[in-house]
Amino acid sequence: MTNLSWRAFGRRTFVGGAAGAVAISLTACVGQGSTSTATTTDAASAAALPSADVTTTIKLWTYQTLPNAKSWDAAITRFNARFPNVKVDTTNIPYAEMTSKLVGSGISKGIPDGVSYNPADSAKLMEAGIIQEITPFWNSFADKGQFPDSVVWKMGDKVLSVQGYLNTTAIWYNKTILDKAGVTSVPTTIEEFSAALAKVKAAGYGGFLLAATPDGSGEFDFLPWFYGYGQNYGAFDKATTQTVFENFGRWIDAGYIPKDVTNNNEDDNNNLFASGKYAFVQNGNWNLEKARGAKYSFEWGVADFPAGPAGAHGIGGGEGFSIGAGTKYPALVYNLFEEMLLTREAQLSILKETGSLPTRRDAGADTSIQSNADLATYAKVVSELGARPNSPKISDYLNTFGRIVNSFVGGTIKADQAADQVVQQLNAP
Amino acid sequence: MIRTKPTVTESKPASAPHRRGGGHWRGAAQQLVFMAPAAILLGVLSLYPIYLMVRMALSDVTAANLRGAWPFIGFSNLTQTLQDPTFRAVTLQTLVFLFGVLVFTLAVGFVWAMMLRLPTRINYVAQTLMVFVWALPPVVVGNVWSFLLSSSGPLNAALVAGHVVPSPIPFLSQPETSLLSIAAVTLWAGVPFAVLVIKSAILDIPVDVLEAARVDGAKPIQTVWHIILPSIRPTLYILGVLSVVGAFKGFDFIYVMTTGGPGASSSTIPFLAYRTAFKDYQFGTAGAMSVLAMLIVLVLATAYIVVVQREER
Repeated sequence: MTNLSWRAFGRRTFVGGAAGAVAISLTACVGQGSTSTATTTDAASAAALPSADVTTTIKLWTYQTLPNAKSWDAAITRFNARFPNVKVDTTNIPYAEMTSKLVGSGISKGIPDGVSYNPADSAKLMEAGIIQEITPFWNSFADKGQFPDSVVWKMGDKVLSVQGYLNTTAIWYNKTILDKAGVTSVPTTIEEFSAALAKVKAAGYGGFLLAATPDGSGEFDFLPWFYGYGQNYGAFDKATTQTVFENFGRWIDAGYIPKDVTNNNEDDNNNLFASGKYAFVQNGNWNLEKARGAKYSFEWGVADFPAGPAGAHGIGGGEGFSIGAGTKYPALVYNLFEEMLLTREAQLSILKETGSLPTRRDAGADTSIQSNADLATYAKVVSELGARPNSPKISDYLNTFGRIVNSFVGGTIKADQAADQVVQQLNAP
Repeated sequence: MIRTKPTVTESKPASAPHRRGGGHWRGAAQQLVFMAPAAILLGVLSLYPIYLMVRMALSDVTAANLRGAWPFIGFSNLTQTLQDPTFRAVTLQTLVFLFGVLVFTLAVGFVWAMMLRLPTRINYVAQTLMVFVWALPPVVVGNVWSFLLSSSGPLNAALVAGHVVPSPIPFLSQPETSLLSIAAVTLWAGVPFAVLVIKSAILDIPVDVLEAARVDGAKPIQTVWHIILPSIRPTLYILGVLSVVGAFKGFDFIYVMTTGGPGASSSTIPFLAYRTAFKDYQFGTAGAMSVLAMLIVLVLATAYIVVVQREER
């Protein structure tokens, strides 16, 4: 797998529930440790599995170019060791098109057998009859106790999707620029951050990059800054929300944040940061391996979000999987995803390959995380994640928030108008 | 000749009218058979989707019931869409965008065609480059221009270095310039086709006519105004329609360069309908937008037909 191919790991999803409960509990909450699929695929789900000599093709959709991924291929190899006549046919769908194509697949009778995607859309897809619940398989999964509730996506009592890893963003800083600009320490509060941006700009460098696209990426990068002021869906306060927008407005007007970010996602911003012209970029752990491997010409590091009055809180994301409605062998598809995403072996493989953090507690306690300064910072962010409310409207909220942010950063609306729109459109339960 | 004519007349049997009628029916049946494939294709690929779109516009359709029943809600979607300030703004943008693309495509295309009409080596090179530009995939063009127009791109670097502007202009990231930039790129990609077509039309004008005008003392501008433009008018009409329809359907550049933003400042009606359908999953509202867009196209098409008919008279 190429680094670029893992761009999709940057696609974030909502991690509902208590943020601190995620699997990266670094206090080593090591669980049962049963890792082999032969063990984890047991009892009830095994009963529904077809015989080992079943001949079929499983059609998977993903927005990651996973056919080249080592971990993905390794999982398929393990799976094929038990089901040698099952062919796994992976189709790559662009991230931005995934949900609409899934909805369209219902019309064209071409629903895939399984999908790796943004599980924030799982409730919508369940309503549309595109995916089916995985409740019986999940309930009989021996290691389900390893997973925090926050990565198990439900609609009522029905389990729709489970995340195999966690992604989040943090602040990458160019230490070389900070040194030249006279910023002696990495900012830890919003005020310090603002002051650092002013110094960086005065020294002739670019300031801060974060995604402001009119979609989930824009939402994913901006919402943490509202968390820092105690704001969240369903409870946005007009005055406070406007304050956060005004902060950004000052930074944009002063040229600390280029307006180009309205068209940039994290990967675009990552490329700009790599040019060595910007002091800060909000970036995801999924880009770590690529960035460290590229050996930038400057010294850089990773820091937690600058704290606002309500602290510093990121948002958790990562891909989940679901089983297509009407697939002939749902247990077989679930079993494949188990190999790909749910075993300790698979999650550590993904961690090693991409920097995406495990959702299993036993994998999250792996020493490779704390021994890596970058990953340790992300793990700290994960331990303090903000949590969106668990609402079926979240899928729509992501795009709406992204559009408001995009309009504001581009200058289509002012801070008070943006705050009005947020309060009016994103406060419904 | 003399023998043949009466032979034909005499050979007509008494029942000729009846047989002519049978021939008429056979001819009609043959026509129907030949028309059937095209009619079926038209029905399946055009009329049925239009029927679905209209039905969707009159129904409450979301992701939840896309595969199920579509409750009929009358004109609610249409009235809501017409009252939506975003849709109104986008409609105005769309019309301005179409007008701009139409005028500049024809004007720039004509000027370039005049410049390139002579068979010189440099003109051949220029035309080859134009064909290359015209043949480029829109996604490639959009991505290249996104880079060129970004704040850190070469265009801004040149403008700042030349002291034309004090700081980079975020062409694609501010409402004042985003749609303008897309229109410019649409022209950049579309003008080469216009140049080639107009140039062909100009070369079709008989040399005698141009020579006669010259002998009669017509100045170059008079020749252009009174000889060339009237001669290529049918070509300009067709080119105008193609340009407007192409710009109206234009999706790739918007999608690649701005995603319709910031806000909806660079969206056209078709793009807004796409966003409403496939991002918001409000298929009924998107259907209403599409119906209204279709009406606009209908007006344009009618205007075109009227002009062409008047021209033919």
